[in-house]
Amino acid sequence: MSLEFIGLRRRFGEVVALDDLSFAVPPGQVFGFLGPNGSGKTTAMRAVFGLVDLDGGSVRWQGDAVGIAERRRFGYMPEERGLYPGMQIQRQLEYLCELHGRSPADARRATAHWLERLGIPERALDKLESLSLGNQQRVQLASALIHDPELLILDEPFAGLDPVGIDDLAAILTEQAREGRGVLFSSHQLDLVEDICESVAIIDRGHLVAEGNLEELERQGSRRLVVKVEGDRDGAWAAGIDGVTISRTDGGESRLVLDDGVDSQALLATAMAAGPVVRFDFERRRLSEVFREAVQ
Amino acid sequence: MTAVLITLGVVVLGIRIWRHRYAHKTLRPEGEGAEGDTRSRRVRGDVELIARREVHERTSSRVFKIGTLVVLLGVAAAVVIPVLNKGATPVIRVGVVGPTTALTRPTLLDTGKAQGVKIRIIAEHSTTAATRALRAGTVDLVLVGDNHLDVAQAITPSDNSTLATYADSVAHYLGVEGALRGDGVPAVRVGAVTAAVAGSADDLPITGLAPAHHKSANLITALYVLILTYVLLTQYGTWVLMGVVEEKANRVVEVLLSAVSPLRLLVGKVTGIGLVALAQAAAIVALALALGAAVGSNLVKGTAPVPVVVGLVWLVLGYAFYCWLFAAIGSLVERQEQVQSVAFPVQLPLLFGYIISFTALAASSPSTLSEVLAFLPPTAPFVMPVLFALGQVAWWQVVLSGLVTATATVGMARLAAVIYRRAILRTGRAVKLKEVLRRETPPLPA
Repeated sequence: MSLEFIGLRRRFGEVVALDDLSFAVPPGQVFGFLGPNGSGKTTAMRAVFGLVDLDGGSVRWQGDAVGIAERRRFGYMPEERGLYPGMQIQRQLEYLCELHGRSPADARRATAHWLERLGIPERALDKLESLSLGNQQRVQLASALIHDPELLILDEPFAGLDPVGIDDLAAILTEQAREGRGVLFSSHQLDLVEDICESVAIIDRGHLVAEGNLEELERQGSRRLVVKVEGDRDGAWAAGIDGVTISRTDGGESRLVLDDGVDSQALLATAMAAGPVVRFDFERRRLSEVFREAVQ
Repeated sequence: MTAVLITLGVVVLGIRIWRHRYAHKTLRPEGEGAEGDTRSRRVRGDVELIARREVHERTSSRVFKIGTLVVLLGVAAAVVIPVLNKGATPVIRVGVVGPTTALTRPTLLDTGKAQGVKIRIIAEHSTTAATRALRAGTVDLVLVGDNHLDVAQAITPSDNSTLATYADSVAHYLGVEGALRGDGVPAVRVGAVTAAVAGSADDLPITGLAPAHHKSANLITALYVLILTYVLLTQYGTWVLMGVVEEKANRVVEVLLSAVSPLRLLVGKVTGIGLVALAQAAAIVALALALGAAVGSNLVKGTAPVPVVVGLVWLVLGYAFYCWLFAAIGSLVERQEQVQSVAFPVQLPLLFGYIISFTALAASSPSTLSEVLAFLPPTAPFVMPVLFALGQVAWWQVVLSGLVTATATVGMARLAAVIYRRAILRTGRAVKLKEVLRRETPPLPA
């Protein structure tokens, strides 16, 4: 059971925001939603909450079209953060929790829990505007989590956070996924996505260009080999071998890209013939490489 | 009048109780009120929840408290200062013609004294001269030979003005004294031993040179209601507009719309603001009436209850119609600095309706234009109460116009919800209305 984007289409005049976008976000996973600026991530996320009129396609949750009842079971953190600056934090969170269909008692309990969990219980009666930006961000996160959502959709949640805030948020997202919730978030911080996501979808100009388990995506494509042969700082031993491309040399290590037909054992033998081989590792593609290739 | 005061009082009390419940609900210790808590938000509804927040946040803000206090002080001053400025006591000039008894003068003076009115007695040499003085306004009341009283304008039983009250009392005292004399009873000053009883058979007749102006109280009331309607609709419309702009400017609206529909959010918002507005309007009217009654202001004496009620109903209808317009306009605005410029086009029909109504009121005879405007929703809240007060429209016309406005309000609400939904998430610059209506909005941020 998952959140499914099925053939979403939306144009704004001449600009194509969503172009037959389809992918699924499975439950129990942290799912990264990637794409260049203006690729349609925010539009797709807004479409989940009915905040965008679609020209075509639909968003489904557990097989059914997403309506207001389903949306209330989702947690949302929009890209442009926003709460009531002059409203008491406790009252604000309780209000938003009740707005998502929870009882006042649930709202009180959840507010107390999340303020404690995020380390700001003593600020419950303060107005939001009196908090530091970092703590305001924590309250914003609490507003997405306060009603115990089945699915979390967060647009650039790590933007503007300090390293400690990033670690805290990453831990919470992982914890939420471990408890069985779906977690979809967009980000340009690919290292971070690589660390905490199990799957990603990459879109460009509103169209899906890559999707799947992160490890599988990183394994796809040409094999990559890191070889260090003592005495050969430029990787000259590999030059001219059919099907082998030296992508980079750095500190005596050569990064090679192998075509499908290249025999790695034969390559090892060639390297050993050139000198003592101190490193011979297959290397997965980094997410940043997957991303660049996908959106080129 | 009592009914109006009670109604207004109930509205204010209701708001206070509601707000009190909301405030305590969120601060109750955990575990308490479990029974109430089992009622889900679905039962109470999104609209109530949103409206509660509006009511609580607005009424607990310092700006609102100070603003309301200033308005109430202003109203109090407007009621009290004219009374204080009138001097020590009002003066009634009584022209006296023909033979009178020795008791007449003390009766005239003491009756005035008992009512807190200073009496100036002016001897007129003939009935003709007295009538001329009455027409010219140099005397307010003429006593003709202890036989009858003349006033410029006939007095109706419901007239409780100072002059009417005094004339009725004098007519009673002098009438009874005359009757006693006729029965051979020694001269007794009736006013010294009994209170005036209106409608006694012995009362002297009071004749008006001109027929009673039945609608004078209605006209005064209509004027008050017209001014109140214009000021409050402008004020409360601006509250709605600012409320929408605030939620758009601080971006909280995207969070809200992820959980509730734009229509419900709007309905909750305008309901909450409307309730606060109604409470404030009720407080203003209640204070004005109560204070007016306490200090003996003509504000209360000249107020007719039915036009007040009709005016207040139209105030509510007017708010219901205009609040959507202000909300829709607010969703187009990017920053609070732009509020004045976008609010102006909406305020034009308000101003137009006010001016047309004021003109009709001043002329006491409505033009064909105002008769038409009384049925158009943007101007009906101003024009219809005035035409009603002038007696130019029947009840069914008032009801028909109300139904037209209510129907138009439904349409306006739907249109506003569409505009709001399409414009409220557009940030970065002010949104043009035609862009929203064409649905061709610029690309969303990445």
